[in-house]
Amino acid sequence: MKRLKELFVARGFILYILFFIGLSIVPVFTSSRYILNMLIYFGMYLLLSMGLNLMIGGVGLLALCTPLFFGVGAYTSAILTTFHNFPFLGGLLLGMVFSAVVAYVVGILALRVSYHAFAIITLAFMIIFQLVAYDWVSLTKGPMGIPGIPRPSISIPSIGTWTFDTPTELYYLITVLVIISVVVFYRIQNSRLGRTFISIREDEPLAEAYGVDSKKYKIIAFVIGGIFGGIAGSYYAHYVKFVSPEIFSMYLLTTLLIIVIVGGAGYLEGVIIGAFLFTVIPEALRLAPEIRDLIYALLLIVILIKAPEGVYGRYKEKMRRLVLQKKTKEKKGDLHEVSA
Amino acid sequence: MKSLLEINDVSKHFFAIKALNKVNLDLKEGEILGLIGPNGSGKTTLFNCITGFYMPDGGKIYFEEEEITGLPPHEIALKGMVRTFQLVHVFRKMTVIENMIMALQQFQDTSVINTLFRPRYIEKLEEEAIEKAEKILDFLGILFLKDNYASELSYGQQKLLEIGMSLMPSPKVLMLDEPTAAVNPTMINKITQIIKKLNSEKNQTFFVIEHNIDFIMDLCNRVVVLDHGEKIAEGKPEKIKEDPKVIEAYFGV
Repeated sequence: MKRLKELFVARGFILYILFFIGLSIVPVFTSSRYILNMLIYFGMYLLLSMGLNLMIGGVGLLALCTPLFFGVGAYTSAILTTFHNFPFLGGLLLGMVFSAVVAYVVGILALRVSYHAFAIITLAFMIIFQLVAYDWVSLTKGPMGIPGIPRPSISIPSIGTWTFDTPTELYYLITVLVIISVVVFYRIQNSRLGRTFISIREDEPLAEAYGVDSKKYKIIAFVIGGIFGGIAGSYYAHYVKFVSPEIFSMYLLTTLLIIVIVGGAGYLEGVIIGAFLFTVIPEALRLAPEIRDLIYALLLIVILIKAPEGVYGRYKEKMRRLVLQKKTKEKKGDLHEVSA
Repeated sequence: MKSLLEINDVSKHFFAIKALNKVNLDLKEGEILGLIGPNGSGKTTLFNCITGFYMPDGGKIYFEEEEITGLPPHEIALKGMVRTFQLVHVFRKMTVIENMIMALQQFQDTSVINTLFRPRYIEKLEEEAIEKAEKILDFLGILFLKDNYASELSYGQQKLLEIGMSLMPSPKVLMLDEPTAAVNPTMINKITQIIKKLNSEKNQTFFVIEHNIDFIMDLCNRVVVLDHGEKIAEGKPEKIKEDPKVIEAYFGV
């Protein structure tokens, strides 16, 4: 137990526990398909944007290929469970493995160049995979997609089978995945690994001069990001029960970029806020369908002007300044006492 | 005295420009070696070749009798050769104390597995690092800034922080690229004193690029002069000052 406590340096983790409890008790209050569906999408966006955040906010790479990992995870699960009778967990696991492998290969190739060229190459890989999904008909069923993906079910021998069929059950499944991923992300962010990532983002030559193998760490960030994407993709395939090449979509990519940047690149809290805002706001704006997109765009512009470092980045910066001010005041107070 | 760093016939050219042409050097343990020369004479290029940021086109570099030519920068750093940069480089959006810990942590342990799964062991390393960092920051007189972002420091303070960071891993060779560029005279004195103190108390080896002749005269045991990528003089600072070749290189007389 003590060990567990040390693993999650208590600092600030209590808020996450509240967040987890909040997520877990939602179905007690509502079984509305609409709200649960919205929160399920929130969960998937959160998983994906955490992966993207590791790249943009972590090592500072503008990687434009998160939908690629999402798609690889989704197709792996879809093909394995629909055509080869794999169990849900097997598909999920292999989905994670395949997206990790794809992330590794794309990472190695794309990291040969830097900055803008890197962004373009990752984008190109996404488009290549989309073309493969369209044209490799024997494997992916081409543009028709793969329908009839079974609902996730976990069977444990001698205990029984458990199928996630109702919205509530499906909601709990994504909640478990989200909680595990958030814990993993938190652990990375608050470790020396997280600090190493940030050092690369801040100043790569300097990091290298202090012994950081920047390429290795970039690939580590890439692979972990890929795994997050794979988990989301695998879940998506079972949730929507249909996968088509449209899954490698630019629309998804831009949404994720907005979530990460508006929420606050580099902060876990940032992506949680971002993902929540961008699943809830568009829904809330349905009340005024005519001006919905207009309000949405205006909101984005205002946030980016007022808080270019993201909503959470802005808040964090303010809090930090306050604490610093308080500290210097206390110090001055001490000096006065001494001189008096 | 033992030779720590040996540079044999190192050349580097960028297209038609010969930035370095068969430069030979050696750096002995416990000395402060100065590297001077007019702008564009290849000083920083030489530093970059030694620390792995550039791949030399010819020649060999040995560190403690082991060849390090063409190794990547992080491997060379981990062998015990730490450099600073000409224009100040710090991790801007990290606090001063985090900058200091970051400068040490790869030297303590590079394993990613340990980082994630051995919290108690890492906690111990972290405490060691903080203790050392606070000592050094105190020594440099910037301990009161430890919770500020590095970007909030003045230029001179950032320069001190950079020197502080380079001291964290206790490197065998400390390579400073223009430590006094754009720094006020009081701060220059402070940096001089720090270098002297480390050299006399801990026998720390330094390799310093500098334009400030007074600084070099005051500090160095030996000076190497580069001009157009070639070594034109080497010796005691007083002698170098009178060397006609050096005067010609600097003043074009």
